[in-house]
Amino acid sequence: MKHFSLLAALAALAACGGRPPSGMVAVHDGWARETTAGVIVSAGYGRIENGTGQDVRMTGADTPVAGRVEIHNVTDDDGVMRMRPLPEGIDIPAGETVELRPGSYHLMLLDLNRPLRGGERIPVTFRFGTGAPVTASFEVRNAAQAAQGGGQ
Amino acid sequence: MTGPVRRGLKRGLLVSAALIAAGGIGWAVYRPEAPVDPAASYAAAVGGPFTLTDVNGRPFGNDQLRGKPFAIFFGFTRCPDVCPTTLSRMAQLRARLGSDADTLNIVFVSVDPESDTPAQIGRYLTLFDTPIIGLTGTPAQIAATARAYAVYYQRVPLEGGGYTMDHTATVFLMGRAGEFVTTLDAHESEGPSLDKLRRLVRG
Repeated sequence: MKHFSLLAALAALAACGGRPPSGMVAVHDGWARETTAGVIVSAGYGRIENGTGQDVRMTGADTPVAGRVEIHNVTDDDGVMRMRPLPEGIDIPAGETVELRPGSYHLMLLDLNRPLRGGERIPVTFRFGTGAPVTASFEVRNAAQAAQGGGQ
Repeated sequence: MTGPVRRGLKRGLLVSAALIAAGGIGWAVYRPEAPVDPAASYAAAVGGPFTLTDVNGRPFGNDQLRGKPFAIFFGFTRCPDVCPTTLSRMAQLRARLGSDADTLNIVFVSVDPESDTPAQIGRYLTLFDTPIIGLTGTPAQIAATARAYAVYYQRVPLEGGGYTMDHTATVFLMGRAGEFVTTLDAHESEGPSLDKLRRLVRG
């Protein structure tokens, strides 16, 4: 019996990707693209884990390095890529994780007030309607790192 | 028009319609299975002459690409997701070509000539650690080049006051004489893409 409960606990851990349910919303593996002078947009990615027992909606984000941040999605319409803002945000059901990744959901960092250099870290604060905001430290990745880690 | 003539005409039309329908059915039934190769439909249509401007502001024509195969992609520098993803992937694929890397040109054509000055494209392309030929031009030159490559693009205003560009994000692989060879599929894994590039540079 003792073994069974241990197995059940291990299975539960495995189902959560090795993490016990956090009881809160967490942002994992956040990263943004490197830019250079004159390039005033970047994109931000990461996984948003809803460890709470309730559905939440990510309604927006901020970072001190960008004038504004929008939530965007990309659709592939038979080879034509269309990027559109999601002003209503992204729903994250209870217990689930939504991934922001290239070619899909992402944060659009607009009107950057300085170039983002590969290797530095920037704070990004996610807003969840009236819920508590979550601040994550995003790693700025250069093109080669982006292609290997966060590309396809 | 008299009755019999009208009837005759009507019958003739009906027979013609029946023949056309039967022919259509026959064509549909007996048509041999077409190979499912989306790239094949491009073959006749993609490529051709163009005149654009390079990142130094000098004229750049398709003739300057002759002698080396090239991968050509259309995008814009305010594109934070699809374009850098594609260009990073091209840089990585080229690096994987090893000693063949220098036998391939990578070409980036802006579909946003109003914002993408030669200097802006030059700065943008420094983000990718591989040489990329960046091109822009007048709206008419861009339109003509996009037409030659069957590339769709459209400026889309956004509510916040900005804009984005919808655009074909296909990478076209072209041979030494500028002829269409195949496309890279953004969704395929590295192996198949690399095989296509190897065939392109060695072919």
